This record gives sequence, C-alpha cells and structure tokens, in this order.
Amino acid sequence: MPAVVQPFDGVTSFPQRAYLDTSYLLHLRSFPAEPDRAIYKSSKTFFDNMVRNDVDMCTSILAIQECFYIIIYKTGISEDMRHFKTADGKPFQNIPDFKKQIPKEFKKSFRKHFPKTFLFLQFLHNLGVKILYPKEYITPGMSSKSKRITHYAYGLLNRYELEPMDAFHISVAKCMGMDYIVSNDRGFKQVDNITLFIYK
Amino acid sequence: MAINRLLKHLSKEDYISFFGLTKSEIASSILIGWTPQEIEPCREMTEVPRGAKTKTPLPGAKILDDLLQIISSQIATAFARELRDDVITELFTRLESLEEENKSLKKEVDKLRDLHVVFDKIQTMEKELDAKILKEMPELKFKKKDPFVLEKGDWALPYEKLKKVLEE
Repeated sequence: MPAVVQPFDGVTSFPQRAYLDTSYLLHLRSFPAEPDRAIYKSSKTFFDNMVRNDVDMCTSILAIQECFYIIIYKTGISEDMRHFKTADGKPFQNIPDFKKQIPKEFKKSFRKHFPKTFLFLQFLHNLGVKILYPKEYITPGMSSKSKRITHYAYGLLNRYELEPMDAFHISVAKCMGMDYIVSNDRGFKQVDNITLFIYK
Repeated sequence: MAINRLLKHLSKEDYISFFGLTKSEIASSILIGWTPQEIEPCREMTEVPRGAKTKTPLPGAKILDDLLQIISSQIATAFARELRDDVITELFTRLESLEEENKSLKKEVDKLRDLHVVFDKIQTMEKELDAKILKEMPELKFKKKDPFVLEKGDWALPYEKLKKVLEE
C-alpha cells in the first residue's frame, strides 16, 4: 500500500510529531519571496496549523546539508560563475572547474553566500523546528540501534524508485518514531507505511 | 512419623495412663521390633500373678520404668538426630541455592561494574570534549524574530526558480 497522502488544506487531525523534509523547508523559507504563490501560501498555512496544533516539528542534519548545498552551491556560486569563462572562453559547466581555474573568485563567491547558511539556521530556530542528529543510528557502535538508518534506507532503495537522500529522510523519520512526513516531493507517495502531508 | 507417634505415647500424661493397662501390653507396644526372645524376660518381670494384691511395686515394674525411660530418651535422641539431619539437609540445600544465586549476582555485579567503568569513561570524554569545543567555537546567538520576514542577505527564491533547482 502506498503512502497515505493528505493535502495541506485537507488535514484535520494532526500528529504529535512530524518530519519536515528539504523541499518543504525551502518552500517555507521562500514564502516571503512570493507570498501570494499558492504553493507557498498553502505551505505557510499548514505550518501555522501545525504550530496551532502543537505538532513537534523535526528535521535532520541531512535536510540541513541539502539546504546548505542548494543555498551555497546550486543557487549561489553557480549563479556567480556564469559571469566568468574558462580559458577557452566557454561558460563553466561545473563548480569544481570554476574552483580550480579561478580559485580567487570561487573563494569570494563562497564568502558571499556562506553567511546565508547561518541565517537559514536562525530561520529554523525561529520556526521552532528540532534538528535530529542521530549519529549513533548511522555509525556502527555498541548500540543495537547502530546502522539501523542505513539498513532501513537500503531496504527502501531496493524496494522503491527513490533518490538516495529521500530514502535517508524517510529512514531517519521512521527510526526516530515518526510516520508523518511533510514534504512537497511527490516521490514519497510510493512509500508504504507513511502519511505524507503535501501541497495538493 | 512412627517415632513421632511413639514419642507422643511417652509424654508425661500418656505414660501415666499407660499404667492402667497391663505392663506387658505397654512393653509390647513400646518394644515393637524387638525379638520375642528380647521381649520375654520383660514380660516375666512385669506380669503380676493373677489374684495377687500388693501395694509395693514389683521389681519388674521398676525395671520397666527404667527401660521405658531409656527407650524414650533413645527415641528422642534418634528423633532429634533425624530432625537435625533433615534441618541440616534443608539448610545445605538452601545454602547451595544461595551460593548459586550469589554466583549469578556476582556476574551481574561484574557486568554492571564493567558498564559503569565504560560509562564513566564516556562521561569524562564527553566533558573533556564539551570543554574543548566550548573553548574552540565562536559564540553564536540567534536573533528572535518572525521567521517569515526576510532580512538583508537572507535566502529565498521565487517558486519557478526553486522548482527548477529542486528538479535538478
């Protein structure tokens, strides 16, 4: 059975805890950029409803890592490197080439975008989202829980057509006792035994 | 149980009441297990000739009294020994089970002690690590503000752009 899908506007009963994934966090963060955009508006309203219903909102270091990557590299340095060209006069295709060929400009760009990560953390702090860091579940250790996330994610990857990081998001949520995922990623719909809160 | 019953017969009150019976009856009831050759001399000594009337106890009666006392004390000793043996056996059994219990408890204690050592070590390491990190890291202070108000340098993307980035 695929996931139980509940659109943001149709949720009447809220869970005690829910896991917020990267896409939802980025939609929320971008709400002020386009407050009238339906998907942003709906995401924000759902967030307000979660706060009103005392939902314990959690995310993981994985989501933060993905957000940082998008903020610094995907939309930051990638944009900046368009103003520069390779030795052959062609536009840069990837960041490593840019870093290698014009390290000075790369560093400048990195310094420019890096502070945004701190502001993003401040945003999460003000949202009241808890950050899970279940390192003992991931790394091998004495605990019986060790490696559980990796094993669970591996099982998901074998069973569904999921992006590896999406499998880890579900795995972290499940291993931390959460069956409710808030995401705007439709890929989660195929996964059994979860309830997905999504925009439409 | 048989010894116990016999001892009961030899209690002070019963002992007196026995003398209402013929002495040979008492003797035969006490001397169960004795051979007829062993009982016979007692019978001779205790039986009162029919029709004889005397107030002085026959010498056989005195001997029977002594004999009964000896037998009762022997039975009491045997009973006490038997009782003591039972108690000792039970005590030994209990001691054995307590020793077993003690062994398993010792194992548990050893296990807990080992865990405690590891726990102490981890706690010390964590304290040292905390102190080290606190010394090394810069102090970060998050401003309390409305998360949906953008400030200078904040990151936010229009939907179409964000959609493209997420699809990539």
